[in-house]
Amino acid sequence: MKEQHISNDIRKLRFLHDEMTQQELANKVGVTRQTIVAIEKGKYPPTLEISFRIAAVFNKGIEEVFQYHPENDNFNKKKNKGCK
Amino acid sequence: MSVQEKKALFNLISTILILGAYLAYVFGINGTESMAQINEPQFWGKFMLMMVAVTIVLKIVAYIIFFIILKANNEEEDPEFMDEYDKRIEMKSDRNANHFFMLGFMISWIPLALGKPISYMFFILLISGFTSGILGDLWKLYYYKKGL
Repeated sequence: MKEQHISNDIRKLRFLHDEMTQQELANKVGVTRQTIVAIEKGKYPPTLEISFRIAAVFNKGIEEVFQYHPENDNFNKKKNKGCK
Repeated sequence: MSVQEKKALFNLISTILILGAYLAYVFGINGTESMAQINEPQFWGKFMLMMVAVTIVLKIVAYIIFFIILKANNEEEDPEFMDEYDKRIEMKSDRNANHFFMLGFMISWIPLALGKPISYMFFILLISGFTSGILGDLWKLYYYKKGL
């Protein structure tokens, strides 16, 4: 499976918040449930605004919800190839 | 399946049915009359204008029926609501569909340049418009499944 360069802990955080449903989170953030599903699965990296809103729902900092993995980022892979 | 996916699927089916019915009416039921005028620009002008009008009216009716069906099924999501994910998917699939239509538009000049009848150009335009509309909806469904 392809490694994602942006991962998230939304599923875990929902569980820790009384098993909050995807629909409840979607309503609090102002997006559709489909979008929460896509973000959780790593199919869609949300905008900064939505990321902040999700972090605010869980009373966390944005870096506690989303993690960046530069080693999996295609941009860095291309850049490193170019340097060689 | 989300409401937006259902909407894309419904749009796909309604496009095929409406345009299919219009083409069957013009070239099937009124086929003899239409085929006699097929190389006249006036025929194609009327054909395109009527097609736009018929499509708009029937699409409005189809959407009203679609919303009624959604309400009857107690669908909680608002079909009119689009968040950033939906908008990005719409923009990407529309861009792909527009590129396809642009290609068809350019190809439609080839028969003109080769001195072929004007009906060739309009048939290519019609096919590329119809196909790009269908592909736009298929791309939407693909992006919803695969992600961005």
